[in-house]
Amino acid sequence: MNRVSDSILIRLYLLFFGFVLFSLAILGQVIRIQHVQGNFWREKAKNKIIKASVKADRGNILSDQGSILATSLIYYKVGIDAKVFKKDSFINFNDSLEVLAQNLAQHFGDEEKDAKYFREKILSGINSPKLPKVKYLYVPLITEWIDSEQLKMVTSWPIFNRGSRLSGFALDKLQKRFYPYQQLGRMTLGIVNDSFKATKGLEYAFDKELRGMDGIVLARRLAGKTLMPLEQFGQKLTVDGYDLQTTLNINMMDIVRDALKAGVEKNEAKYGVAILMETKTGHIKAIANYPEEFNYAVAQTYEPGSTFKIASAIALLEDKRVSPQDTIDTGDGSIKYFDKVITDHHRLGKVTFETAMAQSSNVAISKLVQDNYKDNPNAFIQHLERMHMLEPTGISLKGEPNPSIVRPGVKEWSGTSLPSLSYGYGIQMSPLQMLSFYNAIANDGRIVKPMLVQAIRDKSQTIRTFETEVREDKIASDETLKKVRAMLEAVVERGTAKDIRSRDFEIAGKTGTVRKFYNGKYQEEYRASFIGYFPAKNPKYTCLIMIDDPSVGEQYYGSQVAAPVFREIASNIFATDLDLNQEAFPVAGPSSLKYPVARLASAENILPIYNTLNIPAPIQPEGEWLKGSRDGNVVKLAAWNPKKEYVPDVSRMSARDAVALLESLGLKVKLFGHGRVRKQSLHPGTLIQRKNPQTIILELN
Amino acid sequence: MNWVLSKLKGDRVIWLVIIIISCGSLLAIYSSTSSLAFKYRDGNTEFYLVKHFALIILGLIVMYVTHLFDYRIFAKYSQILLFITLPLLAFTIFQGKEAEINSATRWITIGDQSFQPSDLAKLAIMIYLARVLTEKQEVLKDFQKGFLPILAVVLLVCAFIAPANLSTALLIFICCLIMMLVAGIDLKHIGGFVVIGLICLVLLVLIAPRAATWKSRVVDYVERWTDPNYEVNDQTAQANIAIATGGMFGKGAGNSTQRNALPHSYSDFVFAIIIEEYGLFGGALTLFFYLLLLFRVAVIVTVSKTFGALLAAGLASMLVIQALVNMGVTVGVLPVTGLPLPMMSMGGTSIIFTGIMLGIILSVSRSALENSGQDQEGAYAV
Repeated sequence: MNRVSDSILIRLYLLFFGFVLFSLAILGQVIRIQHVQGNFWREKAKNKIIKASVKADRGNILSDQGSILATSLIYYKVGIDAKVFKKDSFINFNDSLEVLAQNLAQHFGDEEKDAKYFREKILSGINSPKLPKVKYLYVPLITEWIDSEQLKMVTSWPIFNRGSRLSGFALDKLQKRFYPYQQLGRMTLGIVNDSFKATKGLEYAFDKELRGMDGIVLARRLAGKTLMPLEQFGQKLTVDGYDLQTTLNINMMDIVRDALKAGVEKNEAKYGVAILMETKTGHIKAIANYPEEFNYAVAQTYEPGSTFKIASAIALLEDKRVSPQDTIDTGDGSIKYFDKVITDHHRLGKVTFETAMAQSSNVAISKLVQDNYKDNPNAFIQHLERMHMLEPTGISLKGEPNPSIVRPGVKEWSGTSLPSLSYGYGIQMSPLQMLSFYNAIANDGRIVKPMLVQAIRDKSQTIRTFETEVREDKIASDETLKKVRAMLEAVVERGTAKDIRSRDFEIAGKTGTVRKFYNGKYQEEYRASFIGYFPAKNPKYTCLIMIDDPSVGEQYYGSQVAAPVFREIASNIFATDLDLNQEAFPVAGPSSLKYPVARLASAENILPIYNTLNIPAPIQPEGEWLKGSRDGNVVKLAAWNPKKEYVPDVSRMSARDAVALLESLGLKVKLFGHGRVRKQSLHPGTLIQRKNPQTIILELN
Repeated sequence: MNWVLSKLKGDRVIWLVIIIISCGSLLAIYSSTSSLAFKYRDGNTEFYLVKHFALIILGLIVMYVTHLFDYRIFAKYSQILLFITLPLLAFTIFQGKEAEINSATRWITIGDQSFQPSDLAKLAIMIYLARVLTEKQEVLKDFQKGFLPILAVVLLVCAFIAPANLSTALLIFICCLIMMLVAGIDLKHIGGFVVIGLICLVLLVLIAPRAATWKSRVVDYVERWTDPNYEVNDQTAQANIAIATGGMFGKGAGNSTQRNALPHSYSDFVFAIIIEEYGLFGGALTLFFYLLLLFRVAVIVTVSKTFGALLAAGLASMLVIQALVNMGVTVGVLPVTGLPLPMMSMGGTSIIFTGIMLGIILSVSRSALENSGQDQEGAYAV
C-alpha cells in the first residue's frame, strides 16, 4: 500500500476545508437573501410577474352565403417601454430611428407630430435620467386606436421589427364586437357587452362555440393596462372560437327590415316584427324587430287573435263538424255568450264557412267551436296540442317562452273562454310559434323546427352541420289542409286582405287584429298582424308581420297595417328570386313588366333617366345620392348619405356612381369588367382607414 | 435487494448519494419544467419528467457499465482521447455562430444531438494528468523535464476552451491544480503554474471576442457588492425571490411559483427552485450530499496515492466544484456563468458525462476495496 505522506494529508484537509467553507458561504448568502433582504424580495414576488389571460378571437357570425354579420376586431395603441429598450442591439440605431420617426409622422402624425417630434420622444425616453430608478418607462407613440392591418405595417418598421424584447415595443389592446350591417337582425344576432360577455341572441346561445378558449401568458405589467408578455416562458395558446353559419340572408334581411320599418313608421306604431322562413326547411331567412331593441319576434308571447282562427278551422274540419261550403248564419253580426257579446267587423249574414273565414267572422267561428266543443272543450285543446301549438318551437335561442293557454278546469276558465279561444284570445304565443304553425300548413302539414344556424365552422372547415328537424310529419290530414289552404287563399283573393292581391303571384294568409290587454283590461290599442305564405300554390316562403299599436286614425286592422308590409316583402323577394320569377312569369307580357329601380345612384345621373323615360317616381328628394325601392309599380326614391367611416355597399350601382362614391370616401378604386358592380373586395361595413388609403376592387358584370 | 447490492461494486455511500441526488433531481425537474411543458407540450408536464427520468436511468446505466471497467484502461487511451478532443475544441472556436445556444459557441451538433466537446476535454485532461502525475513521480521534481510538459498540455487545453467557455477552462485549471496538490507536487512549482495561468487569463481577456460579456458579468458582480443602489438583473432577481420566499423548509414539492418567472429554472437555476420548494433545509441537504461525495473520495486518496486515487480526486473535485459554482452563481456569491448542477440539472450530455465520471470514481473505489481485501463497510474508516 502506497500510503500518503503527512504533508499531503494536510493539503487534503485544507482543500476539503476550503470546500466546506465555500459551502457555508453559499448557505450564508441564502440566509442573507432570506432574512436581511427577505422583505424586499417577498414584496417583489407579489407584483412582478402576472399571469395574463389572452383573449381568444371570438368567432364570426356569418350569413347563409358566408358574409360576415358579426365579427371581432382588435384595435391597438403603440408605444415602447424605454426600460426594455436595448440600444446596443441596433447596428445603425440613428438611421433606424430616423426611418421609424418618419414613418410614424407620415402615418400617424400631424402638423405638430412630425418626424422630429417622434424622434425626440423616443430619445427622451431611452435617454431618460429616471431610467435606472424606474421599473418601466412607457413612451406612448401611436395614441389613436389602429387596427390589425395597420399594426402589421407598424411592426414592419425599423426598430419595431426587432420585437418587444429588444425594442420595448408595447401594445395596448381593445377588442370590439363589430356588426357590419349595424341594426340588421341585431337582437337575433345578439349582444356582447364591453367585457366580451354574451348576453343575448345567437351570441349567447352559441357562446361556447363562438368564444373559443382564452390563452394564458406570463407577462410583466407595464404602464397603464399594457402587459408585456415574457416570451421566454411558457404560454398556453388561445383557441379561436368557431364561426356560426346562419340561415339569414342579407338581401332578404334588408328587404324585410326596410318594409317593416316603412310599415311601422307609416302607421306610427310602437314597434313591429317580421319573420321570413323558408317553408320546406324552416330556415329563418330574415328576422327583424323594428326598432331593434328587443327580440319581440322570439322572446315574447301575445294573444294571436284572428290568425288563430285557422287552428279552430282545422279542429272542426278534422272532426268533420263542418265543411267549407256549409252555410253559417252569422245573424246580425253579433252573438252573446253569457255576459259577453262578440261582434263582427262587417255584418255578413248567411255565408259559407269558407267565406266566413275569408271575412274573418268572429261570430261564425265562435259559434261553430262553441256548438261542437262546449261539452268537451278538452277535445278542442287536444287538437291544438296535436298541432304543437302549445309548446315552444325549439329554436336554438335561449329563453324561448312557452305558449300559455287558459285550460278547462282552472279558475280562469269560464263559459266565455271557449268562444274567445276560438278566435285567438285567452292564449299567448310568440310570433315565431304562430309562424311555425302557418309554415306547417304551407309545408303540407309537416311542422319543422325553425332554424337559425345551419353550420358551425372552424375557418373553412365545417365542424358540424344542422339538418332540418321534423317535429311532426302531419299536423292535419291532407284533405283538411287542402281546405284550409283554400281558405287562406280566399282571404287574399276576396277576403279581408284582398287589397294586397297581386296579379303576378298568389299570396295566401290570414289577417289578425287584437286589442291589447294590459293593466287588467282590454285597451283601445291594437296589434295588427298578417301571417301567410307565397306562392300560394307551391309555397316557398312563410312570413309573419306584426305591428304593435298602429295609431294613425282608424287604421289599425291587420289588413290595413300588416298585410301591405307582407305584400311589400313578398313582391321584393319575388323580384330578386330567380326561381320564383321563372314560375311566375312563364311568358313575359307587358302587364308583368316592372320599372327598373336603381338601388343606389347619384341624383344627377338617375333623375334625368327617370324623367326622360317617364318612369313614375313621384317623390324626388333633395340630396346627392338616392336610394331606390319599389312600391307596387311606382319607384320610390329616398335621400341617402354615406357613412363616412364605413365602406358602403355599392353592389348593383353603376360603375361611374360607385367610383365617384368610393373616391369621395377616400378609397382607391380598381375596376374589372364593365356595367354594374357585381362584387366588391372590401366588405360593406369595413372601417375606412384615413391615413392609409385602401384599394377597393370592383368586379363589374 | 442483496442481489442488487452484490452487483453494485465500490463505495456504498457514494452509490447512496448518487441515488438520493437523482431522486431529488427528478422532483426538482418535474416541478421546474412546468413552464417548458406549458410552452412546448401543451401543458403535458409528464413529457419532461419521463424524458428526464429516461436520461437519469441512462446516466445510471452509463455509470454502472463504466464502473465495471478497470479504470486503468482509461489511462491507456487518455492520450488518444486528448488528441481527438483538441481538434474538436478548435472546431468549436472557428465554426462561428453555426450552433448558437445561449449565444456561446461551444456546441457541436451531430444529427439532432448537440454536445460540448469541452465535456470530453474535461474527462480527457483529468485522465491524462492523473496518468502522467503517477508515471513521472520521479522526474516531476525537475521543473523543465517533468513539470513543464504537463503544464503545457493543461494550458493548451484550457486555452482552446477558454474563448468560448471561460468558466469550464477555469474549472479544468483548478481541478488540475488540486490534482497536483494531491499528487504532492512542489508548492513552488504549483505557484508557478498558477502565475502562468493568470498571465494566460489576462492575455485572453485582451484578445477574446467574448471578453465584453465576461467584463460586464464581473463588473456587474463587483457592483453588486459595492454599489448600494445596485439593481440586480431580472434573472438574479427572480432567483432571489425564489430563495427568499422559500424560507426555512420551503413551499413544498411542486409548489414553486418562481419556476414560471425564472429563466432556465430547470437547468442552471434549479438550485433556486430547490430552495423555494424545500427551503434552506433542502439547500443545505443538497450541499451536504455533494460534500459527502467528495469526502468519500478524499478517503480513497488518504489511503493510496495511485493513478486511480488521483483520478478519483480530480473527477470528484470537478463534479463538486461545478456543483458549488452553480449554487454560488444561483445565490449570487459568484458572477453569472452557465454551469449546470451536476446530477441535478436537466440536459443530456451533462448527465451522460457525469455518469462516466462517477463510473470511473466507483471503479477506482471498487478496485481499492478489492485490493484492501477488507470488509467493505470498514474499508475507509478514517
